[in-house]
Amino acid sequence: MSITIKHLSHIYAPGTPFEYAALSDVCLEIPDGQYVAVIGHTGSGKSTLIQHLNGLIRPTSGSITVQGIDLTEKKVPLRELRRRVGLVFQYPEYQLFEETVAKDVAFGPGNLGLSQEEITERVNEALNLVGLPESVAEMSPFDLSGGQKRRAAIAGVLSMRPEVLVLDEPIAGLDPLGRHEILSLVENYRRKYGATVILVSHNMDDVADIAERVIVMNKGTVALDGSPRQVFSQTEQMRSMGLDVPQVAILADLLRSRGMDVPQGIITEQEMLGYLLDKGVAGCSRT
Amino acid sequence: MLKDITVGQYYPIDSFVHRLDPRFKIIAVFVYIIAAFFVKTYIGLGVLFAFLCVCVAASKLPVRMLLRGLKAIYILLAFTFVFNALLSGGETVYFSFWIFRLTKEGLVRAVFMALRLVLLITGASVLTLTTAPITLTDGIEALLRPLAKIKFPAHEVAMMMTIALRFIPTLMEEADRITKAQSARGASFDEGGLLHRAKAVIPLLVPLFVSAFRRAEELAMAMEARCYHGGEGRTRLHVLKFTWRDGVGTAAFVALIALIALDASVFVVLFPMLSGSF
Repeated sequence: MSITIKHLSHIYAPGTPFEYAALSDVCLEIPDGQYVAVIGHTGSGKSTLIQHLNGLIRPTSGSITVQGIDLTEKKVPLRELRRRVGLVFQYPEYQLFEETVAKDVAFGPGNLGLSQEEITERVNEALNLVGLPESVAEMSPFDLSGGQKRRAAIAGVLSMRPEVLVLDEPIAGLDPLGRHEILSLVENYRRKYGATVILVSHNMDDVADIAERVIVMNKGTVALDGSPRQVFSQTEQMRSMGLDVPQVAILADLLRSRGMDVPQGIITEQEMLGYLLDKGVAGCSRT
Repeated sequence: MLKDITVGQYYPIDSFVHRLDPRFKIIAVFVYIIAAFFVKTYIGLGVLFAFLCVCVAASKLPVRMLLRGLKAIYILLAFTFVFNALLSGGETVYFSFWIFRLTKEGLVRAVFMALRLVLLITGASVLTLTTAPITLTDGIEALLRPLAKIKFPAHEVAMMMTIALRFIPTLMEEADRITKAQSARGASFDEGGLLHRAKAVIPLLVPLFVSAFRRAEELAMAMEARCYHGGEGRTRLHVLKFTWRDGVGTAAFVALIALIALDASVFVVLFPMLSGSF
């Protein structure tokens, strides 16, 4: 079981003046349980790519197989696919609609046709995973704070227990604490269920910290694909695509330009701290 | 289905018709529609069609775009045709059943009515395809301004129309996004009975309404923050001007009106065979 994408292309509004090729010839293989970050600036095809993963849009050409389900076949078992691939959209809090948080979280499992006990159990577990207290469960989702709304919306997807969790910019517009909460709940879910996580993000520092693999999209194609270390050491190439690298990589570049021999591949704060301490810079010491 | 509606969809290119003053275009379309109802003969219809062809040529619109607009009304067209053909009565009966009688006169009339409808819709879509919505509301506001004398809020009405038009694509996008988000949670909108389907739209409508209200509130706040206080003493960025193009257009329309008027009176007398007045 894994995700296999071969020569995937997608063209919006073909045959009209608004025709637009959002993806062209994308090839990817994502093994089970991998933590993948997808980055790229606006219009690079990230959102189009992830919407293919649970069959919301179909490829114009090429093939895509997700968890053994071939999406190019005429009859795709969509419900089965959506049970296995959970997709959290950008600003998911705008999709809340029920009277209470608990009912909203139960919407997904309800659509899967599960028993009432199973649904209740899953709702409680999902709310627990996203760190919402029980007192919130019976509140209207519209009375929650911004960060709570987002967590409630994410719980609505987690309650379907997807094997592949796809999140489109889940931390956009949140404060540092809110960002941390979201990222750690994703990590908790991943640990608990061994799920594959595909995270679209603009925050390079977070990506460098958490992802095992980084895929950089540019103009509808895969521009770079590798470990955060490999990808973020290509500072020049990232800049030419209008993207940043983590702050630490920028600092490393600055230090190098001042003649310090910082090794390639230092991209997180911890690594930089370790390096500087080992060097004994400015009288610092490990004690 | 939604993408087939060309009435109200702007086709952004540059042409003679695109550059016409919106006030002129709105009046012209009214005149055209009235003319279409005054036309009594196939000759008049021919004149109208020739005129429309000239307009379309001058607008550089692809004919495909115009024809797509007709897709939205094909049911209406079919009804018009069938009812006129079967219920008009006449002498040469081809076929009759219960209250229905298919006659030669009925058929001739049905074709005429259907063609008239096609010309009407196509003509009206030339206006919206060549005029950006904002320009269109500018034109409407200018035309309604005299009504301010009788306390008609011309500016406010135009502003509401502008805002409504401005938010159509935004809300469509939002609806698309919410549909996708709920589909991702296993919702289905196209199966089950009527009741099931009606229930299925609740997860779409609630978030859509919530976000529409939120947007409205934000917009009102932003407008107030920029001191918007209605139309009183407000100047505009694009002042509408009559140009030589509008002169040419006016001349063309006067010619059209003359021909249609001729059609209504003279042709009927001259060529009673061809015209068979309706």
